[in-house]
Amino acid sequence: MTKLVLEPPVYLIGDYSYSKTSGVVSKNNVLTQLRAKESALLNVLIEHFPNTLSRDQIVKELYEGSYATDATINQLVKRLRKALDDDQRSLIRTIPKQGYMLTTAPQPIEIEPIATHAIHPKYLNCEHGSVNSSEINLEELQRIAAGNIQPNTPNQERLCGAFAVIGGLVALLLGYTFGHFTLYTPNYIERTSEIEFKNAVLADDATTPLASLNAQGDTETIYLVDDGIHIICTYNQVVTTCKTK
Amino acid sequence: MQNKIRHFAILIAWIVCALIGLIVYQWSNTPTTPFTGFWSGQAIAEYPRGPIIIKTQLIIDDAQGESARLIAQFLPAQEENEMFQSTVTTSINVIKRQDKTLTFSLSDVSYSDKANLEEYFDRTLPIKGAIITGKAWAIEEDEIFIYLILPFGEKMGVVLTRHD
Repeated sequence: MTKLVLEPPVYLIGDYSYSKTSGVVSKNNVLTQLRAKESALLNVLIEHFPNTLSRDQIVKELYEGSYATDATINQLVKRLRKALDDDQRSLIRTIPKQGYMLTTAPQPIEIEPIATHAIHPKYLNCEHGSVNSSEINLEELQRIAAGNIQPNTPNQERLCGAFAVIGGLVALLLGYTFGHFTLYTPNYIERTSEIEFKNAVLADDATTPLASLNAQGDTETIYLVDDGIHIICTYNQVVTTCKTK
Repeated sequence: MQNKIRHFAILIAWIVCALIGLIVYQWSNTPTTPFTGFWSGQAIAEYPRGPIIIKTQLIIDDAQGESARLIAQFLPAQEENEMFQSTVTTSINVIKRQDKTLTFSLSDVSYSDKANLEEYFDRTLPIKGAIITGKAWAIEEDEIFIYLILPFGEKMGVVLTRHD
């Protein structure tokens, strides 16, 4: 997936804005990514303007260290023209026996970097006519054109699936943890200081005992009400003794 | 639209997963679960013939079945009384849980030196089917206070401490 950005420096060539850095062309605010070789050829044509770019120069600049036939170069120029809608050869002219040249002077322009939504490579291929039309999901393409939805790819589907599964496991864990902290929590005895404990009087229907803590924070005495009878249980860290208050 | 339905379905699935987690917790735990372990403590209970020390050991090893084993050792607290030592071993099961009151039934009750204990208590001791009701509160994570009404009507409060 490619995020299309018209990065400076940007040249105006005919009706097209072209970013040498990102290899993106723009016409009527529609951004298209050129293939690497097409972009490299256009860069060389811009650099050599107004001179003619010979086939040898193309080979030297684009295919150094590799091999390119006349047919390879013809095909490359044809693809670049197609990408620029230059069927009439009004932008890139063939000079017989010499090479190719731009017919319009590329003008550097100041432009704020603009970006478009990511376009799946298969649609980039589609624009260049090298994709089987049966692979095109028209509805998906329209959604992308609307500019607010990314195309669904197998990788994205997988990512979404993984996200859903992980989310499910996390939810399972959260549910379990929620149960741990809310269900079956013990009833804790009410605890108070010795001074407050001495003055405390529980109601006859009190259901929760009161425990006094000593200076060390240990439980010393427990005061509870059983059937209206007030009972004091003393606890000396070993033995518990309960007596009526 | 299709994506919205999908997101909604995932959200519902997550909620269902959370509920399943909650149910799994509820299914695999009981109110007894936090008290699993070995607990012990001592209490002194007053009897007409003199106070008696009750050393209590509670082993909660089957939280799922809400059952435990109780070992209570009885011995006179005052030296002037005739010395004896009696131990009661029993299995206990929670049979009722209402408000904050628990009702246990005792099964497989066995005594050592039962005769002396019956003489001291001046009553016949139950062999099986005795019922204990009681309430329990946590003081700390490893300390609980239980207040029990024993089969013979005595009431007893004891602080139990959990041991690893």
